[in-house]
Amino acid sequence: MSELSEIREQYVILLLGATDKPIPTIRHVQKEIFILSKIQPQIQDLFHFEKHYEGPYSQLLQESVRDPRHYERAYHVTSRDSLILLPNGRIIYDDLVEQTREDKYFITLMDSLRLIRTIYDKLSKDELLFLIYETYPEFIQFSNVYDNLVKNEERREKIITNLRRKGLITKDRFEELIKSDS
Amino acid sequence: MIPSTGDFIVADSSFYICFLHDIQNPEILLLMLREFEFAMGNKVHCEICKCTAYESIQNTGHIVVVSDINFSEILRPFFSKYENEKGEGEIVALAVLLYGMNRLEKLILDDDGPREFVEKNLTHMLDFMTGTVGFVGKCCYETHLLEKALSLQILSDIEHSNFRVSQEVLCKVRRLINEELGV
Repeated sequence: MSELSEIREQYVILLLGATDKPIPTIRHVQKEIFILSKIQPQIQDLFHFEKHYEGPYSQLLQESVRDPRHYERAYHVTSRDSLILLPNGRIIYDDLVEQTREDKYFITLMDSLRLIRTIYDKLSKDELLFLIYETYPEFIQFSNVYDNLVKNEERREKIITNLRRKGLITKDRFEELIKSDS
Repeated sequence: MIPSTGDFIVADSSFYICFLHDIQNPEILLLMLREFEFAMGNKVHCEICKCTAYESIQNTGHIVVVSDINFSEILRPFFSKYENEKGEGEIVALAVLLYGMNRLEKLILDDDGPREFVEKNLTHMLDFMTGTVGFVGKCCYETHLLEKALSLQILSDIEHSNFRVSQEVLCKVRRLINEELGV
Protein backbone atom coordinates (compact mmCIF):
# COMPACT_ATOMS: atom_id res chain seq x y z
CA MET A 1 0.00 0.00 0.00
CA SER A 2 2.77 2.46 0.91
CA GLU A 3 4.37 1.87 -2.45
CA LEU A 4 1.15 2.89 -4.19
CA SER A 5 0.85 6.06 -2.12
CA GLU A 6 4.44 6.91 -3.01
CA ILE A 7 3.63 6.44 -6.70
CA ARG A 8 0.60 8.74 -6.36
CA GLU A 9 2.78 11.45 -4.85
CA GLN A 10 5.24 10.95 -7.70
CA TYR A 11 2.42 11.60 -10.17
CA VAL A 12 1.65 14.83 -8.35
CA ILE A 13 5.31 15.84 -8.60
CA LEU A 14 5.41 14.90 -12.29
CA LEU A 15 2.26 16.91 -12.97
CA LEU A 16 3.75 19.91 -11.17
CA GLY A 17 7.13 19.62 -12.82
CA ALA A 18 5.68 19.36 -16.32
CA THR A 19 5.74 23.16 -16.55
CA ASP A 20 7.49 25.89 -14.58
CA LYS A 21 4.26 27.27 -13.18
CA PRO A 22 2.08 26.37 -10.21
CA ILE A 23 -1.12 24.45 -10.85
CA PRO A 24 -3.90 27.05 -10.50
CA THR A 25 -6.14 25.17 -8.04
CA ILE A 26 -6.59 21.79 -6.38
CA ARG A 27 -9.59 21.32 -8.66
CA HIS A 28 -7.17 21.57 -11.59
CA VAL A 29 -4.98 18.88 -10.03
CA GLN A 30 -8.00 16.59 -9.65
CA LYS A 31 -9.31 17.10 -13.17
CA GLU A 32 -5.92 17.02 -14.89
CA ILE A 33 -5.04 13.69 -13.31
CA PHE A 34 -8.57 12.54 -14.20
CA ILE A 35 -7.90 13.37 -17.85
CA LEU A 36 -4.60 11.48 -17.61
CA SER A 37 -6.54 8.48 -16.28
CA LYS A 38 -8.73 8.56 -19.39
CA ILE A 39 -5.63 8.29 -21.58
CA GLN A 40 -3.97 5.54 -19.58
CA PRO A 41 -6.46 3.35 -17.72
CA GLN A 42 -3.88 1.98 -15.28
CA ILE A 43 -3.91 5.44 -13.72
CA GLN A 44 -7.62 5.03 -12.95
CA ASP A 45 -6.65 1.88 -11.02
CA LEU A 46 -4.17 3.96 -9.04
CA PHE A 47 -6.44 6.88 -8.19
CA HIS A 48 -10.03 5.47 -8.32
CA PHE A 49 -11.91 8.53 -9.51
CA GLU A 50 -15.54 8.56 -8.41
CA LYS A 51 -18.63 10.67 -8.93
CA HIS A 52 -18.64 13.47 -6.38
CA TYR A 53 -19.98 16.94 -5.57
CA GLU A 54 -17.76 18.66 -8.12
CA GLY A 55 -17.33 16.02 -10.81
CA PRO A 56 -14.75 13.22 -10.88
CA TYR A 57 -12.87 13.09 -7.61
CA SER A 58 -10.14 10.93 -6.13
CA GLN A 59 -9.88 10.80 -2.36
CA LEU A 60 -6.50 9.10 -2.75
CA LEU A 61 -5.25 11.98 -4.89
CA GLN A 62 -6.62 14.52 -2.43
CA GLU A 63 -4.69 12.86 0.39
CA SER A 64 -1.53 12.77 -1.72
CA VAL A 65 -1.85 16.51 -2.34
CA ARG A 66 -2.92 17.67 1.13
CA ASP A 67 -1.00 15.19 3.27
CA PRO A 68 2.00 13.68 1.45
CA ARG A 69 3.73 11.00 3.47
CA HIS A 70 6.70 10.11 1.26
CA TYR A 71 7.69 13.48 -0.19
CA GLU A 72 6.70 15.86 2.60
CA ARG A 73 8.55 18.91 1.38
CA ALA A 74 8.11 18.41 -2.36
CA TYR A 75 5.06 20.61 -2.90
CA HIS A 76 2.77 22.95 -1.04
CA VAL A 77 -0.85 24.12 -1.24
CA THR A 78 -0.91 27.90 -1.02
CA SER A 79 -3.49 30.05 0.70
CA ARG A 80 -4.98 30.70 -2.72
CA ASP A 81 -5.52 26.98 -3.26
CA SER A 82 -2.80 26.67 -5.91
CA LEU A 83 -0.20 23.91 -5.78
CA ILE A 84 3.45 24.82 -6.09
CA LEU A 85 6.54 22.68 -6.52
CA LEU A 86 9.11 23.40 -3.86
CA PRO A 87 12.89 23.27 -4.54
CA ASN A 88 13.09 19.81 -2.99
CA GLY A 89 10.25 18.71 -5.26
CA ARG A 90 12.11 20.00 -8.30
CA ILE A 91 15.11 17.86 -7.34
CA ILE A 92 12.86 14.82 -6.98
CA TYR A 93 11.24 15.61 -10.34
CA ASP A 94 14.63 15.90 -12.06
CA ASP A 95 15.69 12.58 -10.50
CA LEU A 96 12.52 10.83 -11.65
CA VAL A 97 13.00 12.14 -15.18
CA GLU A 98 16.65 11.09 -15.22
CA GLN A 99 15.88 7.58 -13.92
CA THR A 100 13.25 6.96 -16.56
CA ARG A 101 14.53 8.87 -19.58
CA GLU A 102 14.87 5.72 -21.69
CA ASP A 103 11.42 4.44 -20.74
CA LYS A 104 9.01 4.96 -23.65
CA TYR A 105 5.94 4.79 -21.40
CA PHE A 106 7.39 7.48 -19.16
CA ILE A 107 8.33 9.73 -22.07
CA THR A 108 4.77 9.52 -23.39
CA LEU A 109 3.41 10.13 -19.89
CA MET A 110 5.49 13.28 -19.46
CA ASP A 111 4.55 14.66 -22.86
CA SER A 112 0.90 13.96 -22.06
CA LEU A 113 1.22 15.83 -18.77
CA ARG A 114 2.86 18.80 -20.49
CA LEU A 115 0.04 19.01 -23.02
CA ILE A 116 -2.59 18.70 -20.29
CA ARG A 117 -0.94 21.45 -18.25
CA THR A 118 -0.54 23.69 -21.31
CA ILE A 119 -4.24 23.60 -22.13
CA TYR A 120 -6.14 22.86 -18.94
CA ASP A 121 -4.26 25.41 -16.78
CA LYS A 122 -5.75 28.12 -19.02
CA LEU A 123 -9.26 27.27 -17.83
CA SER A 124 -10.89 28.97 -14.88
CA LYS A 125 -12.29 26.68 -12.16
CA ASP A 126 -15.81 27.08 -13.57
CA GLU A 127 -14.75 26.56 -17.18
CA LEU A 128 -12.85 23.41 -16.21
CA LEU A 129 -15.75 21.85 -14.36
CA PHE A 130 -18.23 22.95 -17.02
CA LEU A 131 -16.26 21.17 -19.75
CA ILE A 132 -15.82 18.07 -17.62
CA TYR A 133 -19.56 17.82 -17.06
CA GLU A 134 -20.28 18.46 -20.73
CA THR A 135 -17.77 15.83 -21.84
CA TYR A 136 -18.30 13.20 -19.15
CA PRO A 137 -21.98 13.56 -18.18
CA GLU A 138 -21.84 10.36 -16.13
CA PHE A 139 -20.12 12.47 -13.45
CA ILE A 140 -23.13 14.78 -13.07
CA GLN A 141 -24.53 12.37 -10.53
CA PHE A 142 -24.10 13.60 -6.93
CA SER A 143 -23.05 17.06 -8.15
CA ASN A 144 -24.07 19.98 -5.97
CA VAL A 145 -22.97 22.62 -8.48
CA TYR A 146 -24.22 21.28 -11.80
CA ASP A 147 -27.54 23.14 -11.93
CA ASN A 148 -26.03 26.50 -11.06
CA LEU A 149 -22.99 26.04 -13.32
CA VAL A 150 -24.28 24.21 -16.38
CA LYS A 151 -28.07 24.58 -16.43
CA ASN A 152 -28.12 28.25 -15.44
CA GLU A 153 -28.55 29.81 -18.90
CA GLU A 154 -26.85 33.09 -18.21
CA ARG A 155 -23.83 31.50 -16.56
CA ARG A 156 -23.66 28.81 -19.20
CA GLU A 157 -23.62 31.29 -22.05
CA LYS A 158 -20.95 33.39 -20.34
CA ILE A 159 -18.67 30.38 -19.83
CA ILE A 160 -19.10 29.13 -23.40
CA THR A 161 -18.52 32.61 -24.84
CA ASN A 162 -15.38 33.04 -22.75
CA LEU A 163 -14.04 29.68 -23.85
CA ARG A 164 -14.56 30.65 -27.48
CA ARG A 165 -13.04 34.10 -26.98
CA LYS A 166 -9.95 32.48 -25.45
CA GLY A 167 -9.69 30.15 -28.45
CA LEU A 168 -9.94 27.12 -26.20
CA ILE A 169 -12.89 25.53 -27.97
CA THR A 170 -13.40 25.17 -31.70
CA LYS A 171 -16.24 26.94 -33.50
CA ASP A 172 -18.02 23.58 -33.91
CA ARG A 173 -17.70 22.87 -30.19
CA PHE A 174 -18.99 26.37 -29.38
CA GLU A 175 -22.08 25.84 -31.53
CA GLU A 176 -22.60 22.38 -30.09
CA LEU A 177 -22.49 23.71 -26.52
CA ILE A 178 -24.65 26.76 -27.22
CA LYS A 179 -27.35 24.64 -28.89
CA SER A 180 -27.26 21.94 -26.23
CA ASP A 181 -30.10 22.22 -23.73
CA SER A 182 -28.27 20.63 -20.84
CA MET B 1 3.46 2.32 -28.67
CA ILE B 2 5.31 4.82 -30.83
CA PRO B 3 8.29 3.16 -32.57
CA SER B 4 11.74 3.92 -31.23
CA THR B 5 13.13 5.53 -34.36
CA GLY B 6 12.01 7.66 -37.24
CA ASP B 7 10.20 10.93 -37.72
CA PHE B 8 6.51 10.89 -38.48
CA ILE B 9 3.90 12.81 -40.38
CA VAL B 10 0.59 13.02 -38.56
CA ALA B 11 -2.33 13.71 -40.87
CA ASP B 12 -6.05 14.04 -40.39
CA SER B 13 -8.45 11.65 -42.09
CA SER B 14 -9.27 14.28 -44.76
CA PHE B 15 -5.73 13.96 -46.09
CA TYR B 16 -5.96 10.23 -46.72
CA ILE B 17 -9.55 10.41 -47.94
CA CYS B 18 -8.55 13.11 -50.44
CA PHE B 19 -6.40 10.61 -52.34
CA LEU B 20 -8.33 7.43 -51.57
CA HIS B 21 -11.75 8.83 -52.38
CA ASP B 22 -12.03 12.49 -53.46
CA ILE B 23 -9.55 12.41 -56.36
CA GLN B 24 -9.40 8.60 -56.47
CA ASN B 25 -5.65 8.52 -56.90
CA PRO B 26 -4.20 6.24 -54.21
CA GLU B 27 -0.96 5.96 -56.20
CA ILE B 28 -0.02 9.50 -55.14
CA LEU B 29 -0.60 8.58 -51.51
CA LEU B 30 1.51 5.43 -52.05
CA LEU B 31 4.36 7.61 -53.35
CA MET B 32 4.15 9.69 -50.20
CA LEU B 33 3.95 6.61 -48.00
CA ARG B 34 7.12 5.22 -49.54
CA GLU B 35 8.94 8.48 -48.88
CA PHE B 36 7.69 9.28 -45.37
CA GLU B 37 6.52 7.52 -42.23
CA PHE B 38 2.98 8.28 -41.09
CA ALA B 39 1.49 7.85 -37.64
CA MET B 40 -2.14 7.90 -36.61
CA GLY B 41 -4.43 6.89 -33.79
CA ASN B 42 -7.41 4.56 -33.76
CA LYS B 43 -10.03 7.12 -34.77
CA VAL B 44 -8.29 8.28 -37.95
CA HIS B 45 -7.51 4.66 -38.77
CA CYS B 46 -11.20 3.76 -38.42
CA GLU B 47 -12.22 6.65 -40.65
CA ILE B 48 -9.88 5.76 -43.51
CA CYS B 49 -10.63 2.04 -43.27
CA LYS B 50 -14.09 2.92 -44.55
CA CYS B 51 -12.61 3.87 -47.94
CA THR B 52 -12.79 1.00 -50.41
CA ALA B 53 -9.35 1.97 -51.74
CA TYR B 54 -7.80 1.63 -48.28
CA GLU B 55 -6.54 -1.88 -49.01
CA SER B 56 -4.19 -0.43 -51.62
CA ILE B 57 -2.22 1.35 -48.86
CA GLN B 58 -2.71 -0.77 -45.76
CA ASN B 59 0.35 -3.00 -46.17
CA THR B 60 2.97 -0.43 -47.10
CA GLY B 61 4.65 -0.74 -43.71
CA HIS B 62 4.88 3.05 -43.50
CA ILE B 63 1.74 3.65 -41.45
CA VAL B 64 1.98 3.25 -37.69
CA VAL B 65 -1.28 3.02 -35.80
CA VAL B 66 -0.65 3.97 -32.18
CA SER B 67 -3.43 2.11 -30.46
CA ASP B 68 -2.18 1.47 -26.93
CA ILE B 69 -2.72 5.05 -25.75
CA ASN B 70 -6.06 6.83 -25.96
CA PHE B 71 -4.80 10.16 -27.31
CA SER B 72 -8.29 11.23 -28.29
CA GLU B 73 -9.21 11.83 -24.64
CA ILE B 74 -6.60 14.55 -23.97
CA LEU B 75 -8.31 17.25 -26.03
CA ARG B 76 -11.79 15.75 -26.18
CA PRO B 77 -13.49 18.51 -24.11
CA PHE B 78 -12.33 21.21 -26.55
CA PHE B 79 -13.56 19.67 -29.81
CA SER B 80 -17.08 18.86 -30.96
CA LYS B 81 -18.44 15.32 -30.99
CA TYR B 82 -18.09 15.21 -34.78
CA GLU B 83 -14.51 16.50 -34.68
CA ASN B 84 -13.63 13.93 -32.02
CA GLU B 85 -15.20 11.10 -34.02
CA LYS B 86 -13.08 12.09 -37.01
CA GLY B 87 -10.00 12.01 -34.82
CA GLU B 88 -9.09 15.70 -35.05
CA GLY B 89 -8.25 16.04 -31.35
CA GLU B 90 -6.48 12.72 -31.44
CA ILE B 91 -4.04 13.73 -34.13
CA VAL B 92 -3.29 17.11 -32.57
CA ALA B 93 -2.43 15.33 -29.31
CA LEU B 94 -0.36 12.69 -31.11
CA ALA B 95 1.52 15.39 -33.01
CA VAL B 96 2.26 17.28 -29.80
CA LEU B 97 3.62 14.12 -28.20
CA LEU B 98 5.81 13.37 -31.21
CA TYR B 99 7.00 16.98 -31.20
CA GLY B 100 8.04 16.53 -27.58
CA MET B 101 10.16 13.57 -28.65
CA ASN B 102 11.65 15.55 -31.60
CA ARG B 103 10.03 12.98 -33.90
CA LEU B 104 7.43 15.11 -35.69
CA GLU B 105 7.97 15.69 -39.39
CA LYS B 106 4.69 17.42 -40.22
CA LEU B 107 1.16 17.90 -38.93
CA ILE B 108 -1.36 17.91 -41.77
CA LEU B 109 -4.62 19.51 -40.68
CA ASP B 110 -7.30 20.69 -43.07
CA ASP B 111 -10.28 21.68 -40.94
CA ASP B 112 -10.47 25.26 -39.69
CA GLY B 113 -11.47 24.35 -36.13
CA PRO B 114 -8.45 22.20 -35.24
CA ARG B 115 -6.10 24.54 -37.14
CA GLU B 116 -7.35 27.50 -35.16
CA PHE B 117 -6.97 25.53 -31.92
CA VAL B 118 -3.31 24.88 -32.73
CA GLU B 119 -2.75 28.51 -33.77
CA LYS B 120 -4.20 29.83 -30.52
CA ASN B 121 -2.89 27.27 -28.02
CA LEU B 122 0.09 25.41 -29.46
CA THR B 123 2.05 28.08 -31.26
CA HIS B 124 5.25 26.03 -31.05
CA MET B 125 3.63 23.59 -33.48
CA LEU B 126 2.91 26.15 -36.21
CA ASP B 127 6.11 25.58 -38.17
CA PHE B 128 5.11 21.93 -38.55
CA MET B 129 1.49 22.52 -39.51
CA THR B 130 0.30 22.42 -43.10
CA GLY B 131 -2.76 21.30 -45.04
CA THR B 132 -3.15 18.60 -47.69
CA VAL B 133 -2.72 21.04 -50.56
CA GLY B 134 0.24 22.69 -48.85
CA PHE B 135 1.82 19.27 -48.35
CA VAL B 136 1.43 18.42 -52.04
CA GLY B 137 3.25 21.67 -52.80
CA LYS B 138 6.07 20.83 -50.39
CA CYS B 139 6.37 17.35 -51.91
CA CYS B 140 7.02 19.18 -55.17
CA TYR B 141 9.33 22.09 -54.41
CA GLU B 142 10.95 20.94 -51.14
CA THR B 143 11.44 17.20 -51.37
CA HIS B 144 11.05 16.89 -55.18
CA LEU B 145 8.99 13.75 -54.64
CA LEU B 146 6.41 14.98 -57.15
CA GLU B 147 7.25 16.59 -60.46
CA LYS B 148 5.86 20.04 -61.18
CA ALA B 149 3.38 18.94 -63.87
CA LEU B 150 2.06 16.12 -61.70
CA SER B 151 1.73 18.41 -58.68
CA LEU B 152 -0.24 20.97 -60.64
CA GLN B 153 -2.47 18.20 -62.00
CA ILE B 154 -3.10 16.94 -58.46
CA LEU B 155 -4.07 20.45 -57.37
CA SER B 156 -6.45 20.71 -60.32
CA ASP B 157 -8.01 17.35 -59.44
CA ILE B 158 -8.42 18.46 -55.83
CA GLU B 159 -9.96 21.75 -56.93
CA HIS B 160 -12.60 19.91 -58.97
CA SER B 161 -13.34 17.29 -56.34
CA ASN B 162 -15.42 17.37 -53.16
CA PHE B 163 -12.32 18.08 -51.07
CA ARG B 164 -12.87 21.38 -49.25
CA VAL B 165 -10.12 23.89 -49.85
CA SER B 166 -10.19 27.60 -50.55
CA GLN B 167 -9.16 29.17 -53.83
CA GLU B 168 -6.78 31.31 -51.82
CA VAL B 169 -4.84 28.26 -50.62
CA LEU B 170 -4.81 26.67 -54.07
CA CYS B 171 -3.52 29.88 -55.66
CA LYS B 172 -0.86 30.29 -53.01
CA VAL B 173 0.50 26.76 -53.46
CA ARG B 174 0.43 27.03 -57.27
CA ARG B 175 2.35 30.28 -56.99
CA LEU B 176 4.92 28.70 -54.69
CA ILE B 177 5.40 25.75 -57.05
CA ASN B 178 5.93 28.11 -59.98
CA GLU B 179 8.22 30.44 -58.04
CA GLU B 180 10.41 27.68 -56.64
CA LEU B 181 10.62 25.62 -59.82
CA GLY B 182 10.23 28.33 -62.46
CA VAL B 183 7.13 29.01 -64.52
